[in-house]
Amino acid sequence: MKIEVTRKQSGIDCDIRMQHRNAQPATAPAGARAIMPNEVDFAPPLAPLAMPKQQIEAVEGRGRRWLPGSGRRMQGQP
Amino acid sequence: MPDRLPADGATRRARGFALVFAALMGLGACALILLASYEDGLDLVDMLRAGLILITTAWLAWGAAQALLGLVSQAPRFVRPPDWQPSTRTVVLIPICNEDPVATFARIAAMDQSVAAAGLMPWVDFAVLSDSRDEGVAARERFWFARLLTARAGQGRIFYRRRHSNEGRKAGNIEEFIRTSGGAYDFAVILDADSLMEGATIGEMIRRMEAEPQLGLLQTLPQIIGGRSFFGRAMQFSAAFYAPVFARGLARMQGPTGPFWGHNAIVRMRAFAESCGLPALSGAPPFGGSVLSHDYVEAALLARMGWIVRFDDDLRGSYEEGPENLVAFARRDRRWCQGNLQHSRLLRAPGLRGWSRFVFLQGILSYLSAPFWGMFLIVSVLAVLTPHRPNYFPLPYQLFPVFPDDRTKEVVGLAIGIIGLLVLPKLLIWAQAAFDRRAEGFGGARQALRSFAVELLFSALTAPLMLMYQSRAVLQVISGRDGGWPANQRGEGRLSWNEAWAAGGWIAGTGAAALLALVVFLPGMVVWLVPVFLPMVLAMPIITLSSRPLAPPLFSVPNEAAPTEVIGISDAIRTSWEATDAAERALGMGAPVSG
Repeated sequence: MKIEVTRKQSGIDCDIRMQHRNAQPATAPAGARAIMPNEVDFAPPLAPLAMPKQQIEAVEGRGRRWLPGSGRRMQGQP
Repeated sequence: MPDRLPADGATRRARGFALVFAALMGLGACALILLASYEDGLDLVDMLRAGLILITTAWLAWGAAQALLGLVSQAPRFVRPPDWQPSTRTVVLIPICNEDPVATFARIAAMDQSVAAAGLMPWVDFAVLSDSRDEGVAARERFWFARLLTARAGQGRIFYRRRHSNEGRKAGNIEEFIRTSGGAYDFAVILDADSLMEGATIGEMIRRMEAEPQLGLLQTLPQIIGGRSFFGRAMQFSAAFYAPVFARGLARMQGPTGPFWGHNAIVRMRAFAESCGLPALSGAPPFGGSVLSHDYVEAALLARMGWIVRFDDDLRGSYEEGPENLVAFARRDRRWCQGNLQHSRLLRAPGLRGWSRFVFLQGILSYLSAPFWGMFLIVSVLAVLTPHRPNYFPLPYQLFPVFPDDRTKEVVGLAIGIIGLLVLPKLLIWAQAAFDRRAEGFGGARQALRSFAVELLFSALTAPLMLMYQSRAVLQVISGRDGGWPANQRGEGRLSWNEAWAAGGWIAGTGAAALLALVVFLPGMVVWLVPVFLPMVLAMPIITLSSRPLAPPLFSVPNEAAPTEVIGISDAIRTSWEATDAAERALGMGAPVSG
């Protein structure tokens, strides 16, 4: 299933990205030091996906019943 | 949801071999103990001792069976089409919590460059998921993230977000990303803050996920890198030399119900989202609350929904850092102990596959085996102290105990068998590495043999210490003490004598008291128990000295002699950034100071 989403491409298309293929380890330019942006600017794309909570604990008492007259529980009773 | 997948024939055979081998070894050890005690009548202490040796020996044999399976198995072969390109989108997730952003973001820059070099940049994004609670650390993260973006021109494909609450810890952090942004991606490569991965490896993982629609999770075997101390380098050698063989054996046994180790793996976003939403367990920690060792549970839940969870041991180019000293190792082990014992709550979880329950049981046993060994030693001493027992050591300086009707050979055979289970797999791995020339990457067969011998000796010295740490951890968890989930200690990790005393003084004291009691009351047992109690007495020098730097060639590994591209790039960027950071700080500029 292909999911269509709106992505923050910021004008960088794939061709431009490919120009960096052989880029060397870079030291950030001096201009970077002044940047202290809000973290919201860096947020990943908004594309919600449901993630339901799973049942991971055994359900105590399910499928069990007190055995009549014995005062003890018996396993496997409907 | 895919159809449920049964284990294939090869997986069943591997499991059967390991189970039968472990059972035979355990029962054999049990029989030897019972035979040695039979002459003067079996009592409760004998039965307890036999039960304990059965469990502990079977556990050792289980590990040895993995190595044997790994030695006789071949890595799977996958052929990558030359013109393959992804048809999917992948995000590399890096959850962090109060980490050093310079080191972490330098690794991301290196991985991004490696991804670009592999021609994958249009299809792979990165997302840093911060759970840092320290505002100073968070400010540094933002600063260094901006620098990362500039250096890699990464806006729009390298992301950063910080949660306001770190509910659910790492699992909750990833879950929050999936709920918010998971729909944008087909796959997620999940890393740790100290993980590093080659772009080509990421590409191959994507290709395998695309090729196998039922594959929900693909795990790699991360190699440890960056070890500088004796302890760190010993672990690094062990992980590079032995772990691939043990891991291959594990992969043969696990089959389609493989492991997830929480990082250096790729998941199918839709499968993970529909299967792995973890609720908090009822009750209070340590057994209730958030699921601590969430990775094992997530692997089990994926398998429950019919997804294949596979461990491909042939995938290279996957790295992580390891603890640099025994104390950091024990601290991490304390967390894992609590996480694994917490799985006892999930043994009866509905719908899990039998193998998943068995994996939980293995995790629990891996920690219970330490107190079991301790109890075996105590019970063995008690058996000798029992008044109606004959005197096993009639002479003052006697090496082997004398049993009525000469049962000495059973006990000696048991000792040799247990040592064999510990040593033989590693020795066979060395022999195979020498034969197939894999040892050349470790400095050659002779150097690998030296590293093997020193690692073996070091393991023997640290085993009693770990027995004490693990036994204490188990007792703490069982008594309801929550150890929390403190962040990993990374970095140099050299320990002072004071720190060693604080961490190991209680072990040294216990060992000294036990040794003294033996000398006074059971001098004949001293020789047998000195390998356990002497390392305990020497806990502080072992902890301190093993945390000191060690230079090659001892514990040489292939990645040192010829670092792969991504390791070299990562080191270069980190060095460059740290130098810039120091220079800017000296000028009163640059990144905010944390703390």
